[in-house]
Amino acid sequence: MGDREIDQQLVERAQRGDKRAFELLVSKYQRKLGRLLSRFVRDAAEVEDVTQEAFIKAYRALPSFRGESAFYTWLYRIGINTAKNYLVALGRRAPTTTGFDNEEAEGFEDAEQLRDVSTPESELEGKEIAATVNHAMDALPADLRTAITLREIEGLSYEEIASVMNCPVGTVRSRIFRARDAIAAELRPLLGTEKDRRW
Amino acid sequence: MIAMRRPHPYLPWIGQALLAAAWLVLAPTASADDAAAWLDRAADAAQKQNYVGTIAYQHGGRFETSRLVHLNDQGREYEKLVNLDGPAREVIRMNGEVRCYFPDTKIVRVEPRTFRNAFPSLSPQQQAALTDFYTFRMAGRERVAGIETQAWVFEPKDGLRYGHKFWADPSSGLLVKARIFDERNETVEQFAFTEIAIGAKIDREQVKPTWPVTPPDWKVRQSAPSEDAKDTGWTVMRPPPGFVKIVDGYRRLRDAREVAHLVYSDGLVAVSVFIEPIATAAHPFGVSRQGGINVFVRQQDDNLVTVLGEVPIATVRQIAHSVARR
Amino acid sequence: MREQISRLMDGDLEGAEAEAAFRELKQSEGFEHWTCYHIIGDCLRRTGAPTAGFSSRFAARLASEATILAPNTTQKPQPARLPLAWAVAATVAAVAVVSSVAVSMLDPQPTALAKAREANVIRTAQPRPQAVSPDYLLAHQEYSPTTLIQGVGPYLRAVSAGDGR
Repeated sequence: MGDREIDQQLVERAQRGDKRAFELLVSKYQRKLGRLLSRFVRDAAEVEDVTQEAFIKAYRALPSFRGESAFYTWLYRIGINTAKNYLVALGRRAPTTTGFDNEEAEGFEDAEQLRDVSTPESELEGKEIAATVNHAMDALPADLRTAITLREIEGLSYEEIASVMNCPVGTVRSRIFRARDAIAAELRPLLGTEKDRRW
Repeated sequence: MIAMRRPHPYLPWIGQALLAAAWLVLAPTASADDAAAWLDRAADAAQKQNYVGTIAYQHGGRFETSRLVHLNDQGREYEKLVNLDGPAREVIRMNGEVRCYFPDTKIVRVEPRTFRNAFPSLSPQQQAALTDFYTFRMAGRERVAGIETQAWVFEPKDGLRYGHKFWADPSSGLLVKARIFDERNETVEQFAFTEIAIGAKIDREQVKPTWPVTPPDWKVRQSAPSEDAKDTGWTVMRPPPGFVKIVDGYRRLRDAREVAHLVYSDGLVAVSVFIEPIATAAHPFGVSRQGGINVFVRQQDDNLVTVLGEVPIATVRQIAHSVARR
Repeated sequence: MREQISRLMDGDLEGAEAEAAFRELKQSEGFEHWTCYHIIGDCLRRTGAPTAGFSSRFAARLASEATILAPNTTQKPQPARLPLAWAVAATVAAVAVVSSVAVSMLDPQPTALAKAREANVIRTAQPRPQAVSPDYLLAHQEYSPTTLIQGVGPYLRAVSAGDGR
């Protein structure tokens, strides 16, 4: 199973009534979608509102999703429409960025800096989380760091990483997990476990 | 060690043909010269022989059959390929020009003959690359399409390439079956004649397209190379070992867009790199597959980079990530 | 179990193992690991800052939505099938002409089946989706050694999927 198949599995479960499966998809894509929609709206609270609205619309439209495109591609279009409608309803116009409607979700790699769309408090939290992840990455042994970088940033599969790092797939599996586990250990205290503050 | 054979009782000259091919049967693994020579022989046979047959094309668990006719009329080649399953398709090759007919959408695609179409033989560099990166060896004898073929294998020495197995008619050298396989020995793609007549008398009528050369109410899509013969200025910074650039030029693809086209080859397979300004239409980014060809599409600044070839996904991806201007 | 979740999100689990991992994800602990690992990925890719409480707030909204129930709406992949022509051709191969060194004067007739198919040139079967426009593949095939040593056969890659556009 690849990345697309895992999304497909979750979609199918959600289509069969498993709401938790949809929440897993939301957890995976909320930041990516949020960042996209923050180009339309500046206020942090508004961004979250519109993002959640988009996810709810996607949930309602899920029965008509047949897997012809990747889930995020489909979600992306719903997100754009939601943001536009939101602005129209508020009497505001969408920003006229070039080629915006035509960007293909999956391939969109934006080198642009993170927009300053956060309230001071959440901005601080967000920065702290990013800093913690970077710090934990620096502390990793080189082979773990390489494996997780190839997986998360380059998007290579386990087999491809095994080929690049010249080691068995089992080793790749283990390195990626150990990297994640080590970073998560540093991250978890920050994330907390209160039920109403789930990230 | 030379393979010893009793002469075939009904075709006494089989023994001679085998001896003629014996120089290739020198060792379990063969040298760079042998690999290059073997490929040359197969290419020569594909070009010079007359043959007609039915091909089974297998990829991704699917089978499609087609009918293939090839005629060499005093040095001029004519070829016709008609699929027998699914939507009607026809490929006609004549004087180096290739036409693909899509009757359901009334489109004919034309690939004109270019000076680059001339029969390229491998450079010494590519010849060396062949056995630097593949182990070329003889495999068993097998009956394919009624012919006692000799099988040959190019085994990759690294994970950046697929394995290739070919079954050739010993007397003509013509390939009757070709298989691309991955590291788990699973078939990536296979072309196999299920019936074939080599050396048959072929009529010009048999290689003419079913439709007129340019049907009147059809759309013609021409993919012309640019008249300007200059290099594109693009390159692949870190091609996989053994891959050498063999083509560098612009072509005009659909919508008359000028697209930079680079081709890298290790002697056995090729990878094409297309670079063009990103258009307004949506593109399927990432990895996909079409038959034995893996495709990787990504955006780089304002450009769309499309890499495709008969190599594993990791390889097309690696190439796509190292495209740069010289 | 954390390792299973790590593998699942990368598409490295199948069948029963995947099922077991999905069950774990239903629990809050499993969900937290999933969330945490995805936050790590997003941080590395500089996708965006996580916001506290998003999941909780969304879960509350989702809870008040009617549960959708639409099984079997997604396309299942078509099973591979052996076309009739191939099965016929396989038996025809038993009587195929054996090659010889000298150019023979044989003029083989195409099988009746092939003739019938050729006459019926417009067929109704849907073309398979294509990965890229044929332009790229055709341009590639011009220079691919596979074309050199196999002739026009590999052009099937360019035409058997898609509809020419």
